[in-house]
Amino acid sequence: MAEVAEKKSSSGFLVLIVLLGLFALVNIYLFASGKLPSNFEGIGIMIAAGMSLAIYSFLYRDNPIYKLAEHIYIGMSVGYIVVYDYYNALKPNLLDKLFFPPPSETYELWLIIPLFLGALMFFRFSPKYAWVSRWSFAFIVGYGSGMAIPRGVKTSILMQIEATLRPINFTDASGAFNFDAISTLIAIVGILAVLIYFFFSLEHKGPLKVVSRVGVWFLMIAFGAQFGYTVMARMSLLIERVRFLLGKWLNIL
Amino acid sequence: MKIDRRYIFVFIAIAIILPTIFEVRMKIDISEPVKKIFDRIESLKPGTVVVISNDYDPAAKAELYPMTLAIMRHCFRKNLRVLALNLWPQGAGLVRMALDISGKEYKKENGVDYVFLGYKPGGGVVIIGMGQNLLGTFPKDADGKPLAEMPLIKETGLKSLKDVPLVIDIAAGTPGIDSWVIYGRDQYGFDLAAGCTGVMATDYYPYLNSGQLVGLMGGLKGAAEYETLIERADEATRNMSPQSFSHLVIIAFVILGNIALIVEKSKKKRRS
Repeated sequence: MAEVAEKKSSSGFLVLIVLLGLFALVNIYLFASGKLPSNFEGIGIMIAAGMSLAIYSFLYRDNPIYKLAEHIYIGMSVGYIVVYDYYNALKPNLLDKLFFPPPSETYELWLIIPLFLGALMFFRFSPKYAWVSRWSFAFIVGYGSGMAIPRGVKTSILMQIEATLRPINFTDASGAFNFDAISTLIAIVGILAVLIYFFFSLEHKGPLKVVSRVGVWFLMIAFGAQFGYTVMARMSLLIERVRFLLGKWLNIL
Repeated sequence: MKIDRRYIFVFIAIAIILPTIFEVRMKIDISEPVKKIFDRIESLKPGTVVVISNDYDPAAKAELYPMTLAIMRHCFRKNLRVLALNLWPQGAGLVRMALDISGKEYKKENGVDYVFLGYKPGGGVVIIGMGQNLLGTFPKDADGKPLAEMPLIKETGLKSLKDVPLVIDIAAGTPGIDSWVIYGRDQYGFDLAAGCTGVMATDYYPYLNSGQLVGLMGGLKGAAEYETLIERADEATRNMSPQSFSHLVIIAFVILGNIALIVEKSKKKRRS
């Protein structure tokens, strides 16, 4: 058993070396033939192509090159967000106003409160004093709930109910049959059937069972539509990468 | 019966690579929700300010960047003024690129015809701030120039979102369309149009039905439809044929999988 695993890992290592060599050869050819510009842009394209291929190598099998690319991606993203947030949020909105205001402006001392609450968050790193960070979280939860709940109820519940209860117009302004009325009817049947499916206070028997069954069908169709859109989204990402690899990197397109 | 999933990947790769190389073109039909965004922009008078919020990162570039570019091109072609911003930090570079490209194409000037506000953290709080006092929330643009001194602000007298007839949010998650509906559209009364990734599209149809969204572009198809409407075929339109071929492969595998399931079930029945 151990022998088979060892053979597998050594053959995997060999494949890895061959692929890396192939990648290097292709890039040497691209730079030598002028298909990739010999400047930072060309190097950037080469690195981007390498990273894309490294990530897609997971489709064959989990491997160290994939892991390396994954960790680089996470590190870069976090680094970018930290630097971007510092220069676009923390520095202009807090540090400059509190410690280095322009000569025409005064020190905004009230900013000590958010600075203090923000600093408390770092107590999360100490298991002993992590509870101190709860004060900041309490503030966030409090203001967040106050801001979101009334608006959320109005927007996502009341306005949706209003839209469902609107009278159905079977004829349009010219007196012709309004085909949108059919969509509205289907939506109403769907809403009622799905609501009944999730109504657990009564046993789903007789007519209730039939309606809840219809609810299940509506749910299935909704899941199908969502899956279809998900497939489309994932394919779009792949197509964009393929176009990059064939176009910008290999210059085939 | 079992097929190694890697065979499926090979078929998908072929279905994408061949139409990409041979530039196969397909007809793109326009859906009602996308047409409504186009019509709303067409109905605006030249000089009107449109806010474009870009709430996505490079991971969603394939689907959402073509939407941003197409919408900006349409706005500039109509001589509308654009106020662009990000509620996600990583998308700032893409928005700047789209503004540079579309601005140059239509000879538009930064500060006069468009302003890039950049990124501001806070999501819903930023939207509420813009609804109450735009200059208080964004005293400077992304390059650090004072907003109050810009011709776009001076000439239009723009003070808050209440002065804006249309906001277009192109989003890949939260903060995004929900935030703009909850904290923006329903509080300050502007029309809201949206573009989103395919994964999210079905979640926003209820907003479309209730009139909280004037229009919706879903995924690459939505972007391709918009490019067709403005008669400016670009990345999204080009990518639609490999998209269609890859869908055909997936449909074929779904059918094959179901046939195999039925055959296996009937074999089991016969055995028992």
